[in-house]
Amino acid sequence: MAEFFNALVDPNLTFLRYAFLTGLLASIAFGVMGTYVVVRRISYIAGAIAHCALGGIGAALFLQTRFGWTWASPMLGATLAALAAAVIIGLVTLYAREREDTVIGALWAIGMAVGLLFLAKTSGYVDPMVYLFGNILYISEYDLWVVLALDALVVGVGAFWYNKFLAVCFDEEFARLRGVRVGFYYLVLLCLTSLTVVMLVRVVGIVMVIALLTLPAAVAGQFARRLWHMMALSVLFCMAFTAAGIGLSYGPDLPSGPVIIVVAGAVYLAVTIGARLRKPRLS
Amino acid sequence: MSQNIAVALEGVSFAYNGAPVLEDAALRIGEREFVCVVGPNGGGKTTLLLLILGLLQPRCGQVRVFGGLPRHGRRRIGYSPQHARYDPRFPVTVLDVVLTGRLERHLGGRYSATDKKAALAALDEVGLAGKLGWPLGALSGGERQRVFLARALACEPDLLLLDEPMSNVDLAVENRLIEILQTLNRRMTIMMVSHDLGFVADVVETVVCVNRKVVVHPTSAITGAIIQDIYGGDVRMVRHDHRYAEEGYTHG
Repeated sequence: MAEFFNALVDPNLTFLRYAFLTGLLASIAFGVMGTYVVVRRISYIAGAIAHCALGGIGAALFLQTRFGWTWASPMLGATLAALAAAVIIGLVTLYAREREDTVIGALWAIGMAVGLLFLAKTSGYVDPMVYLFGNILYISEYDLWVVLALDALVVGVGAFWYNKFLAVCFDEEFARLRGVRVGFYYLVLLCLTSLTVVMLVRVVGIVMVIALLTLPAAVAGQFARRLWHMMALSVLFCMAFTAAGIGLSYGPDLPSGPVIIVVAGAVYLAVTIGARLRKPRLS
Repeated sequence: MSQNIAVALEGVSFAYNGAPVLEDAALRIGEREFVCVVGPNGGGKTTLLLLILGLLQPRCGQVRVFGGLPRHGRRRIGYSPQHARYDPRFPVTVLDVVLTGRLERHLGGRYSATDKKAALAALDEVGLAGKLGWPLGALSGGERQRVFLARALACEPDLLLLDEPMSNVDLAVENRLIEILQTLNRRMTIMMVSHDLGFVADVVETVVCVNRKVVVHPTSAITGAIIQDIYGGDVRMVRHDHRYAEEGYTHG
């Protein structure tokens, strides 16, 4: 650990500082949106959005190499694909009388398949592993600004519409009866979730998005009595998991994403089992 | 009773996927009336409320709430569903839930002092002022029912629609709820779905019997023959234990 702290202040290792700072700052958006995802029980939607992001990443890389569209960055592709997935899933759950989970599962797989096909036809070598499992140590100063913007958006919108989001998540039917545009707020929530998911892909990769989005919120939920308490706690837990994950992975040269997830998962299991033992009658 | 009409239905029919639930229903409820809706399970009681709320559209006929379309009159309605679709582990306090009754008054931002006053007054009315900071999940079923009633009251409604407010509630709480409702009835119309015919006879002026048809009776005119007609079986009139009564009905 001492080695890690020395590296953190080493002027030659800026990438580590960026990674560390990005992880901490992104935890704000992760904690807030993760709380909504957990209480509204839409973590599988977040998973589908993450996998659709790969479609966007693949398309962007393909366009970059095949047509020389340098502006088509993987992040832009991921963002657009994630937003499109959020809107499609939102509209399907709100209006189409389809089986929701079938549609979500289909999008999940199709997004992934499209991404892999694009990557297969992209000239030059692209390692899908970077996107699937993430690598926070690739993060640049630019990403830091993106994370700050995302935090500002999530906290700003989240604070302004906190009461609306709470009502829509808690009892949608009642909110609708009171004249609240439930569909609109639900779509806003899903779009904020998809922006957050894109950032998560950067930190822990597509495969582990759901874990870092929901585990801190799930741990916080064991202690919180009100929604915003849960958000604040969830932010703190997410910061702790990310920091611990990066710190623990540095010495033995492990990939940071999986270590973050293992730390989060271990704490979640311990807290859940602890809560069971303390109050055996409550489920 | 009163001159102004709160709820009016004319020739209303409704079907779920072809199976008729209500046929040619007609109904007029005056302002400040206290009406009880009774009928067997699946008879269309909840459907009737949902039509009044405008959450369902009639296949034919007309529903009017305070003289206008249901979705326009909706904001003057305080609604407490039989089973609010909520997650008991959702991190909210009693006050948080009741405040959502004030939601449509804002574009965004925080609740005002007026909202909080109205929410507190509503909680006071249902006798839960002492538990406003409690997590909803820590309350008993009956207390939660009262929280949802308070939420409906926080809307400051002119019409209160209650779907089975007496389920999950023991006799003492039931009596207390009846008192609360009678007080509220002085300033608002109340339409309540109940299984409990005994309750009906004691406090309500008008009974709306729903079993595909809708028939309106003044309470005094309820006889065994009418009940038999509605439920399609022999039912005793006075039963305070609704759970028991529920099993006693034969479904026609």
